[in-house]
Amino acid sequence: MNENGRWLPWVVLGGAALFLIYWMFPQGDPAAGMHLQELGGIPVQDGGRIKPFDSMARTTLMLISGKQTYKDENDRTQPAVKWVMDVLTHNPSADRSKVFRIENDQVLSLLGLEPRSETHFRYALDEFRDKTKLKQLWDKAEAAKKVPERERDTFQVKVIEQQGHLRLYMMLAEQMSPRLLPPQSSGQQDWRSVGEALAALPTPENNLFKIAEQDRDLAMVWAILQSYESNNPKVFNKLVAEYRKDVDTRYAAATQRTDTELFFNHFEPFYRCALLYGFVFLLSCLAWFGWSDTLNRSAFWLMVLALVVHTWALITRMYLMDRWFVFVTNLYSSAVFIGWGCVLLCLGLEWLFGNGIGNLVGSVLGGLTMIVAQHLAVGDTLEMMRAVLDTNFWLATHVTCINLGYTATFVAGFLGLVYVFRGVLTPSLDGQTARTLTRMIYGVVCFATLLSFTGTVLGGIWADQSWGRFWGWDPKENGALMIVIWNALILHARWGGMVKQRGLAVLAIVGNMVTAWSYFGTNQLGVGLHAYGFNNKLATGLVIFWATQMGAIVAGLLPLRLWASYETLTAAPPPVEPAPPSTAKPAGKRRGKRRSKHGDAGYFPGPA
Amino acid sequence: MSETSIQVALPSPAGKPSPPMQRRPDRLRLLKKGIQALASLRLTVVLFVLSIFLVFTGTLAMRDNGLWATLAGFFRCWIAWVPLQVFVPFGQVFFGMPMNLRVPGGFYYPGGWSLGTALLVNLLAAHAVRFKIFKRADRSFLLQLAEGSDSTARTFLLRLAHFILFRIAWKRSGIVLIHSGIIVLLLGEFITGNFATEALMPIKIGESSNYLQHTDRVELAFLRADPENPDRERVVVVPEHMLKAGGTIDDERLPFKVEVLRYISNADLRNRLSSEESPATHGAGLAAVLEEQPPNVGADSNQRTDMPGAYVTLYDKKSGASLGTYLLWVYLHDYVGEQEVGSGPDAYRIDLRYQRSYQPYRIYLEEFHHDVYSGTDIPKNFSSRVRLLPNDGEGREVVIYMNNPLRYAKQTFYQSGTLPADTGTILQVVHNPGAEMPYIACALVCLGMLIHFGLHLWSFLERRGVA
Repeated sequence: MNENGRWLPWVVLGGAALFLIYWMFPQGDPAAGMHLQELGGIPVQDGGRIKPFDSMARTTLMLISGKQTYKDENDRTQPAVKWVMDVLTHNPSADRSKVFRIENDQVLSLLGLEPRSETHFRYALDEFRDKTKLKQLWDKAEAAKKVPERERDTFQVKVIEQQGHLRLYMMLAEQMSPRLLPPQSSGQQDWRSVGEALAALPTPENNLFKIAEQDRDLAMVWAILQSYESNNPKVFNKLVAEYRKDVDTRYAAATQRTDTELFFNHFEPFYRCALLYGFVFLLSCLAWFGWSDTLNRSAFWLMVLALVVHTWALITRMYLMDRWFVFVTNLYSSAVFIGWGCVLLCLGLEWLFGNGIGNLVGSVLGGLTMIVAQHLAVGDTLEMMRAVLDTNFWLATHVTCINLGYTATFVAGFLGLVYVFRGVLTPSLDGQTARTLTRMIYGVVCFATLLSFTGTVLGGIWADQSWGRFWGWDPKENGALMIVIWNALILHARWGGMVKQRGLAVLAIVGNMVTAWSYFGTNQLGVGLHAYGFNNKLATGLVIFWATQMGAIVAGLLPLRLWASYETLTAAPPPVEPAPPSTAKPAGKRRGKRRSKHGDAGYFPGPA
Repeated sequence: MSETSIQVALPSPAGKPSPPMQRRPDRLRLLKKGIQALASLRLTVVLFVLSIFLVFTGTLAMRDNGLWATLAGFFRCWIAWVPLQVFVPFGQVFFGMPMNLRVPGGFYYPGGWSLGTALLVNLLAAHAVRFKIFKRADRSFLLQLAEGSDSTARTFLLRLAHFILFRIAWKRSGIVLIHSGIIVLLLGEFITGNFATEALMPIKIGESSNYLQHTDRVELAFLRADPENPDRERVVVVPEHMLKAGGTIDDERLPFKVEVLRYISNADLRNRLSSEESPATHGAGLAAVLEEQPPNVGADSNQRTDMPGAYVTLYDKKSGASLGTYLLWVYLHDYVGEQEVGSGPDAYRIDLRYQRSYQPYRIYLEEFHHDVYSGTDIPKNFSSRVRLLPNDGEGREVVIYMNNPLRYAKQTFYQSGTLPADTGTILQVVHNPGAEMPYIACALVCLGMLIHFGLHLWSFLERRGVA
């Protein structure tokens, strides 16, 4: 322990906090140019909820191009709001910007495009604006729609997807989307788009003042669009500020939420968390080479800070959806929540064991889940829930519990990976570390069994409440059942002395595969009540994940003498080491006879 | 190994066993060994592996065979036949296998009932030999307590309190709770699998219904107004298995002799082309024909059921003269109503319909709502305001909506679907005698796990010096 290192955790924490504060306050709008950020705060109705214009623009652009920003014709990165405004006002710059992401080679050749990896397969509308080609695409898409969903091949899926993207664009270009205008009378729920409102005018009008007489909001928004089109920042900024103030006073409750969401969008808390987790990972890796105590402590406190941001983000999402205690509403939020659970659990482990392993596993899982979530974010991640799912009680209990079960199983699996990798690749796995890791895995598996069982049964009770079937043998239910059985299997194999340290680690890694199947795999089959979110990319990702886990399992099963840690593991424990605690227990003593040559395999004595 | 509870259960013979009894302890030992083998943890683990694989293949099989076929063929049977074809969708989705791949063959595998029973036996055996709720020295104490020979009520209570506090192995109580919960869960699924029924009750707005529809089977109904009570109808039905068997059906209760020319278990109705031949000579069959469809897989994402149809010829019972060949289809009356056969007082209406079971109550649909999120077509809620009218007694008003069913007459009514164009509701009506068992099981297991893992965590923390 280095006395001089005491300041390091504080420096790390302070530095990270400064960065966070910096990120919280993004650069504002340029004084002279268009105030697009301010425009982004205007409320619109999209996907069944009121959200800031900025969110709607990001979601739309995300669907079309896979990113929330884009590069304009001059290769400058621009916010999604600008693209949407350009399309709404028929600015030719929009059609020259490369936003349409087309990866399928058949779709590309249909549109007469060359595969172009340097722009990440993004194309400008001007590159394929050709009537005959677009008609061909349309016809192919319509034909593909007649094929039942499960029998469509990749091309058919992609061509329908492409048609959907063009539709989104057309809706914007015809000003039929977004729904910018609040309902005219207070009794109505449906907001209106500019196109709809213009068509609904009793007498067709081109004169702003005449429109204003009939529909004040329409006139205002129309004027904003006009000033944007004529590139008049002064008028534009004034109008936007005025309109926002007006809407803020009339819809105070809604705009409070949209303002928070706007801040959330700019702050990008999950991205910031991912960065922090990456830094935690670096610190914990560095800790292997020296100064380990100080570095581990720094990593620990940095992870605590990241968790605070993570927690804030989860709570803010609940506030935005107005669903308290509902952490998970779709695959995206489940990934984010599982990451949170993993970090929390690992912090607990680190606090108990203080050996740096909790930091390492927590940062890896935290970072990984953020990356996975990034790939799962298709469209609005705060989408509305379909009828059956629209119940806060069950979402808060069953779904949370099940996801915590996934969390614990993944943490156990990754601890298993640490065991195998340190053992096979490095000579650092000594008897004491191996024992500690085994204890950690065992404890987490117990936790996983409890949570996954409870979650699964709660799901059954929900099903019984809404369909009268406690157990419907739905693929997702079966997946959850497999996790429960697998965790029970690990525990029983351990209690029966069938596996020892190494076996426990390998079984825990298999748990990763089982959980991944239940979490993502079952959805891919496209059957059953939980059949949401089929995704080609996911299927590929899953196969890669399985392959890596298989690799780790094979490595774990290698004969011990091939392990880099062979000598450290089999060496006699140093005399200073305390005796394995469970020998103090009569139960442990009895089982001790059957036990391995590698000493006590576990800490908690199970039933003899 | 410690003594078994079997030995405890037997009255221990005083002194040495007598010579003729010599062979009994041997048998006992054998029995004990047998039970110990059944109680093996290795067996548990093997059964777990087998179960996981069964659940996995069953899940895959659902894609092609549907829910009900999979339930019957994998989970609710003793021996399952696993065709290799079930693994093909898995390969297609994840490993890019060709879409038209067909793999012949398969293998036998223990079914859900077998594995469940084996797990149950394993568990019970384990409790017989391994887990003891009482500390070892206290069995005789317990016997004493039960006999209570020398005690007044007060000493009895004192002894009981002492016993509960100090002599029960609380460490084991978690495990016992968990396992008893699992037993309840397994039994519950067994009862559900064998005795639960599910049916539908479609009701149009402003109308009422007093029967359940069982969409997994149909019946051919002959209807006429009851001459004594014009409000009621007299119905005679031919069950599905007789229709499927084909041939001529002659029964004294039937008004006609029925010859089934063709029975199609899943058919679609379409207009008849002028050039087309059709067996039908009367009624709707003159303008339409049945087109055979492949069977639907039970629990598709959109849960469709088979729509059976048939061509039948009816004969007059006395004269034996043909009354014509009719086309029948299960949704035909939604299009053209019921078809008339004969005339005057002997006229009957015929209808092929999903089997009905009449209930001692009637449900009247007052209102039906299908809400969507504004500006989208994402459904937000379905709700039915109904009036429940028992045949005897007061009626009452109930609102049935998503996640809020009505429980009545040992049945549960769930909001399940809507009739076309939101003209009415479809209620799912479930009768399950084992419905409460999972709740009990869940409470037992969760409590057991909390106790078991909680105790271990506590002792761990204590040793760590945290607590």
